[in-house]
Amino acid sequence: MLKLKNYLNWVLKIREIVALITLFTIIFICLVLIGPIFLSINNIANILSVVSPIAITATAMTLLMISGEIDLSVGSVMAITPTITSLLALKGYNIFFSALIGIGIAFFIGLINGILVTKFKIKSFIATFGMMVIVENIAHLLTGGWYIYGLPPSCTFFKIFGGEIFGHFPVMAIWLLVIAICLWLLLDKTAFGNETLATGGNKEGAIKVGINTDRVKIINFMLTAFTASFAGIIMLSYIGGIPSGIFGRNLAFDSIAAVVVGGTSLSGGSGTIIGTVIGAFIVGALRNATLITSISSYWAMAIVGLIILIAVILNTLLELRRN
Amino acid sequence: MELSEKKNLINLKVLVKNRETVPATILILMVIIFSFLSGGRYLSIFNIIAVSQQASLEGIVAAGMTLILISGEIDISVGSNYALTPVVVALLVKEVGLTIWLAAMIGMGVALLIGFINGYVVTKLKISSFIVTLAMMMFLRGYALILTHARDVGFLPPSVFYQILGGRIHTKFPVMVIWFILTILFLWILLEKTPFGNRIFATGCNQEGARKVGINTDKVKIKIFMIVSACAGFSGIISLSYLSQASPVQGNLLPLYAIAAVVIGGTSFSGGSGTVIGTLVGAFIAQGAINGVVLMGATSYWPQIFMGAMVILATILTTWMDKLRFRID
Amino acid sequence: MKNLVKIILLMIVVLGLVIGSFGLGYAANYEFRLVWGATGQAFLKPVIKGMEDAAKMCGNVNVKVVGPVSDSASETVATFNAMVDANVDAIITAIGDPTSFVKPATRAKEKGIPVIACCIDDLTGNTPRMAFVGSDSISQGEVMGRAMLEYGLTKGKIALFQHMAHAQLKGRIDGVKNILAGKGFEIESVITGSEMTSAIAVIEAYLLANPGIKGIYGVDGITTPACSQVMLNHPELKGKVHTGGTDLIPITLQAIKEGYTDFTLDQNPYLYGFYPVIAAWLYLEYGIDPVNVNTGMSRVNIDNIDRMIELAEQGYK
Repeated sequence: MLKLKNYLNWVLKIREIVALITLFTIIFICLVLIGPIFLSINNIANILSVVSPIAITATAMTLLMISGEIDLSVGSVMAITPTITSLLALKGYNIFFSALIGIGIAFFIGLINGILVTKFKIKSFIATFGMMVIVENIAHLLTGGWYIYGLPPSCTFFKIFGGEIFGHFPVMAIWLLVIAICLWLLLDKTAFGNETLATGGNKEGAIKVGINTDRVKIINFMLTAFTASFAGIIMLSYIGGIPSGIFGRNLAFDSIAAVVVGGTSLSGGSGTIIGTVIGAFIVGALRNATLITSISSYWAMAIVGLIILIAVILNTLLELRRN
Repeated sequence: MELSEKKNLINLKVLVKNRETVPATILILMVIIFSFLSGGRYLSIFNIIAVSQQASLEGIVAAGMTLILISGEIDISVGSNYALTPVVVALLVKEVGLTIWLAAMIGMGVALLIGFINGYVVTKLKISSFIVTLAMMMFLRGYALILTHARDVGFLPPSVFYQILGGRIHTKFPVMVIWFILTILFLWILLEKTPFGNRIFATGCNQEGARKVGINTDKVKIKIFMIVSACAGFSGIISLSYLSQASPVQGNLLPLYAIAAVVIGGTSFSGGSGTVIGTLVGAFIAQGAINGVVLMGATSYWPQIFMGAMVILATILTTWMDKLRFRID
Repeated sequence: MKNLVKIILLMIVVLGLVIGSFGLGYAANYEFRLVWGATGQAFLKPVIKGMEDAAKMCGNVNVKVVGPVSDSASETVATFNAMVDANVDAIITAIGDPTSFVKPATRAKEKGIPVIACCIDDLTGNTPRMAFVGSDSISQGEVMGRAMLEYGLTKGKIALFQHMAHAQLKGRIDGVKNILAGKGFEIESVITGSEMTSAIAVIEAYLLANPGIKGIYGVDGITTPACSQVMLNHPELKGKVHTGGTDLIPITLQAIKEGYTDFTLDQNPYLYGFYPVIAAWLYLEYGIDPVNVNTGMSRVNIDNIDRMIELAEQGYK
């Protein structure tokens, strides 16, 4: 009996345990409802095509939320970078160069976010909300709201970022792996990672030991903007153009959901990249399942909301237990 | 110091101490600039009515949102509530055959229940209000779509009820503005003149401290969530009366606009202090800004960009004024 | 210990696979899917009704709508791909832009799954589909232009409102401009945003900035009722300012009945669901290739308004 209790305690100590259990429960339920086709290579490829942009953004968002801030403007950044990239490319500029400009603008937006929060002392929710509205509408102004097409569908650029290998497997999943590993190394193995954790855990204490918390936050904002813009480039390459209408509006909610379901606390100070990636897969698997089942897509919205709530409740309870 | 100089200093102090100074100044400046740019049309009756109408619908929700922000929480489910409540009311009238009066009471009951659930999960289960109301937002929106199969519900039997809530006096003055002002008045009295209001400020300022002096912060928060949900439901029923239809997809951006109105109105996003009168002004500023930009001929995306910039600027101003206030004290 | 965890998790997955394979297999009926980019739209109801009625007539067809609730390009593409992977028997969809659906539609074609477009088509021809059921947006706009002239619109300035920039709406605006060209009209197009009450506020502000405007028209299911509501708000404009638009929303229909709105146009969404199901069924049963169907744009005005309200309430319009 004691061995079981010890074992249970050990299991509960794994930070990502809630995310893992949730993921497997979701997979189980989906398998029951949809059949083994849910785990077929093609469907996994589909899930990856939806999850990758979310997860890529969510990994950097994890660092940002650990340091105590949030970024609602990621959806607009994801929209504006490919817009600028494709417009420049259509004008004749080299597409790689255009992408650099597009990503550069994203860095700039991240910098503005960081400065608004640290130097002007505006709460990140409001600052990034304002930026979201401004950037989204600038993106619409640039396209006039119409779709963008006319870029060569099989150019190398698109293949590198949005191609498919072995039939269906989306290359973007590899990019996700690369970015997730890089950010995990950053968080876990570098001084900057420690500074981020300290800034979120106890800001005054961090300042006292000489950490430049402003610098930490600004860098995290810029990283988040970068990943969002990268996700945008990936979507552009995958689709081959820009669809009309609203692009990327759900990204902020989806990536934040992935982060909190994955175990990162909204108040900051703790969190893991792995948890976030698992969280993104939960959100993606849920969305995929609700897209293709007989469950009316309206119920789908309701269910996704409920599951996010349950996962967060469990995480919070575990957090309290840990302390 | 000379007596007159002392008097000037005191007046300045009062001006700075007052949270409503910033939004009032912004409003006056904005009205002057837009009137000038639009050749006087900005202040025409026609325009004031148009602005007031939209400001009222968003403003009622913003008024409730003010209390939420003061207490240190947030509620982004108000938009879905604003859609679901009128949908429920309209379907009760159309499919079940209830009179609109009874249906509206049930609808408000549903709104209060939503607020209670929000408050309960936030306080007893200790989950961040952002996440709870995010989940509730998705849940309610999905539910509204299911109930209506994504169709707008209209063609309800006529009743004086709709005139009372959403009609116009002398075909000119929209009644909903009166409801907006009444809501603001009610919440102002609640906030500034009752002990409950004090408890709200205390909870927002320092939750632990409030608990230590015996305030049941959980109860306070649950009540506030119910208030803001009631505001959202009320505004939804007014929109039903105004448009004679309930749409399951309305109110998508409502939480953001409500928060914008509150923030522009001078309430601090960090909680602990705020002003309902400021929110009244903020709602008019937000809608007045969009309206003004359209009047100038820059339609399409510029009004939104302008509003986003205003939110950021207003927050910078408010934060700066807070610092000033702190220094003066 | 760690191994125990791994084994338990593996067991859960295997159990799921086993139970799942007893789960929903596709029955002997044909499975048709409507892949839609934003399933929270009002006019989907008649589309679905059309599909269901057609399925009943065919006898051995199951129809379902799949897709994200709110506009999301990546999820719609993923849904399309998922349907192709699931080997459904036919896919019906609206093609909103020339790039998103190219890959999935090509895969469907290679697998022999008929893809039929409805409502909007890819005018560049990039996206392979067997047929298009709908009308091209420019013709829709021209029908609207003709209706505007028939209802006594005199020359001067008019405004066309759209709730967001979209290829189909642009086509309608261009169609109106085609008809009104050279007749002494000044036409301005304005984007209002998708929230009904905000759109009303924008239109009212626009009215104020343009006194003497002869007509305010909507080109979609949000701006049309918004314009009608503006007329209801300002009854003194009745007769002086004309309005009309598209789609059958309760506000618009009520305004037509009371004489504030001249007309609205119905794109016959019932047919978007009905014809493609029949066409796909004929193709699968008898090898008859699907053909394009022009669903036109029918008029709703004061003459037929009562019947139209009745049909709209029943879900046919």
